[in-house]
Formats: sequence, C-alpha cells, structure tokens
Amino acid sequence: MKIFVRLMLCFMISTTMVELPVMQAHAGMISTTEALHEMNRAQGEADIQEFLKRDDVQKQLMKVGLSQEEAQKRVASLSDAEVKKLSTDIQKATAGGDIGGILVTVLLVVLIIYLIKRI
Amino acid sequence: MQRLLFLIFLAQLLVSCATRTPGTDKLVDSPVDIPAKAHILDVPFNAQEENHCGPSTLWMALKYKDKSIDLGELTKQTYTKDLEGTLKSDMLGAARRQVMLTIPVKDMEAMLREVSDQNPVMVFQNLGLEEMPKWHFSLLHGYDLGGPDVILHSGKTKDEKMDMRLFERSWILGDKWAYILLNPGEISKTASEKDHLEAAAALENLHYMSADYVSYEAILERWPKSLGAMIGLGNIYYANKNLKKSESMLEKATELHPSSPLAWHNRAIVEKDLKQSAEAKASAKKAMEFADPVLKQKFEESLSGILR
Repeated sequence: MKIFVRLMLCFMISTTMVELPVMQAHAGMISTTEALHEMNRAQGEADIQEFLKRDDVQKQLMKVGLSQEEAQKRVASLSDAEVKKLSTDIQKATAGGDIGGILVTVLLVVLIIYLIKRI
Repeated sequence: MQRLLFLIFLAQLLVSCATRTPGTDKLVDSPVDIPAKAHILDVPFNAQEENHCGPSTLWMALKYKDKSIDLGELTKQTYTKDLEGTLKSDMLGAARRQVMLTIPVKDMEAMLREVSDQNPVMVFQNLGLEEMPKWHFSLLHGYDLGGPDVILHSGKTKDEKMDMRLFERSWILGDKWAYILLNPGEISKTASEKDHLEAAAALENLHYMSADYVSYEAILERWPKSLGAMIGLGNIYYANKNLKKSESMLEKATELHPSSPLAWHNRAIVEKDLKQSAEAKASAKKAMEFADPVLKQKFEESLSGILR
C-alpha cells in the first residue's frame, strides 16, 4: 500500500511540474520578461488566496486540521511552478462551473498545501 | 489520508477519460459568432520531405506573412537530425529569429476564429496512438462546421480535408500546441494581453529594438492600462539611452498602477541615472513598500545605492 501511495504521489507531482522562465536583466532595470514573470506569480497567488476564502474550501481545510492562516502561509511558500499549476487548475475548475471539477481541485489544493513540506 | 489520495487519483483518471472532443462538440451543438466555413486560399504550400514536417510547416506560415527564408536555412534552425524531427520550442525560436510574434491559440473555437480572421494556425498532432505516438506538424487554414471538417496543409498533401473531431483528438493527444505568427504591431482577436506581452518580451530578449517598440505600442493601444507594455517600453527607451522617454513612460505606469513595485523600481533606476536623486529615493521607497518578501530581497541589492 505504501508503494502504491508513493506511485500515486509521483504521478500527481509530475503533473504539477512546469518549466521556469529564464531571467535576464540589464543594468539594474527589471527586464520585461522578469516583470511579466513577477506579475504572473502575483496574480496566481491572488487567485489561490481568493479560492481559499470559499466556504467549501474552508470546510475542507478545517477537516484536515489546517487553519486559513497556515494555508495562506503555505501558498506563499509554493514554488512558481506550483503557483502556476494550482491557479490554472482553479481557473479551469471554476470557469467550467462543474461540481466534480471543483471537488477535484479542492482536494488537490488541500493535498498540495498539506503535503508540500514533506515531499 | 490514503483514502483521500485514492479518491484524487480516481478523480484525475475520470477527468482524463471525459469527452474526447469537447471543442468540436460545443461548436456544433451551440454555434458561436463565426462564419460557418472559411478557407484562406493564398497560403503557400510546400510538400515536405520525410520527417521534415516542422521546417515545412513553419516555412509555409512564414511565407504567408511575406517572410521568405530559404527552406534549407530554416531546416538548419529547426530540424534536429538525431531526433529525426523538430522540437516545438525550436519552431517558436526560429519564428522569432524572423522577427515574428508567436501567439498561442488555446482551443478549437479560437483556432477557427483565427482562421476566419485570415491567420493560419500551426498545429502539432499525434496521428498515432497515445501509447505509440506519431508526431506531426501541420498548418490549419480552413474549416467547415457543416462537416464538420478542417483543412490542413499537411505532409505532402495540399488542402487536406480532415474530420474535425479526428483532428481535435490528434491535437489534444499532441498536448494542444497551436500558434499563429504575427508581425510586431499586429494584435490577435483571440489571445490575451498576457499572451501578447509574453510574445513581445520573448522578441525583446533577442534585441530587435524597433520591432519591440511597435509590439508594445500596439498592446498599449489595445489594452491602454497594460502595465507589462509600459514596463516594456520603459525598458526599450532605457536600452536606447532615451532616459527622458523611459522616465515619462514609467511615470505613467506608476500613476495607473500606484501599487506596482516593479514600475516604481524601474522608475527609481531611471531617475537615478537622470541624477534626480530626491525623486529616485522617493520612488525606491515606494518600490520597497509594495514589494513582497522575495522582491524586497532583490530590490535591497538593486536599489541600495539609491536608498542609502
């Protein structure tokens, strides 16, 4: 069973990995590429924080014994790739308005936030 | 915990097994405001050699935009011999080397919309099975919702007609890769502000000064509050040593986005170079005020000379 759980974890983690952009800067200025990267991350984090404020998400978080404050701290410590993946998932689920999708995402949010520090 | 994991695993499997051609189904079931059919007739055709679908597709897409490049040279820039094929990233890189914006197209509806707007779409397909892929680049330049079919320049076949659902499946199996090429200054009707900015910034990294200027200007005209475009223009003017113009652009950026640490940061740097030390210090303080911890750390270094 342990191996099975590990395999599933690997499967899920591998689907959350995306590429990181290359940074480039000239003479003290923040380059446009870097600025866009920062803006995307800020937007992604804002989207996730917004999602964490939903009632159903809060309930899920409480169920696994995670305070909203701690959840927010964990979001802040996600890598750029994780923020991007998570916010994209949330966008997709909430845009489609399909309950199954939202449920999956809720569970994913909880899972990622819950396990991120132990992998 | 294990039960939770198992549930999520099952849910992911279920999601991936859901309807196979959502885009076409939606277009057929609930029509949108695009023409029932379209076909861009003047897209040049090249019959590809074995395994050379990448350079061939890109050559046609470039030629349509009046970029004539020798196919042999383009092959050198895109084809990787040992892979017997072309990487997706090399398709985009080679297009940028011809000073073109590479704009992603996100779904079936957007692809058809681009075609009806006279933009052929480069697509990546898997013509084999999921387990035994047969990768292929082709150029989508026509469709008929009545079929529903799409029309492609594909391989050795000009104007190949393909069932739209079959096409969509092959495109989804190819990981939904679809791009149009635009000249700097052109704007796509389906792509977002962010997509345009990413494309323009990728070109900026290759240092085509005048092209970038035109791209960001066009984005700013379409999205007048675009922070990315204003930061981009600020950077271009700065790189061109036009500090005055750079400053006024970033001033505008901070007026429209008063809590953007990035805009304040770059404004501070330009003001420092203009020897306006009081203004530079004020801007740097603003930048620090709105920066998150990660940015703050970065700024402490780049702004240290100003804040001291």
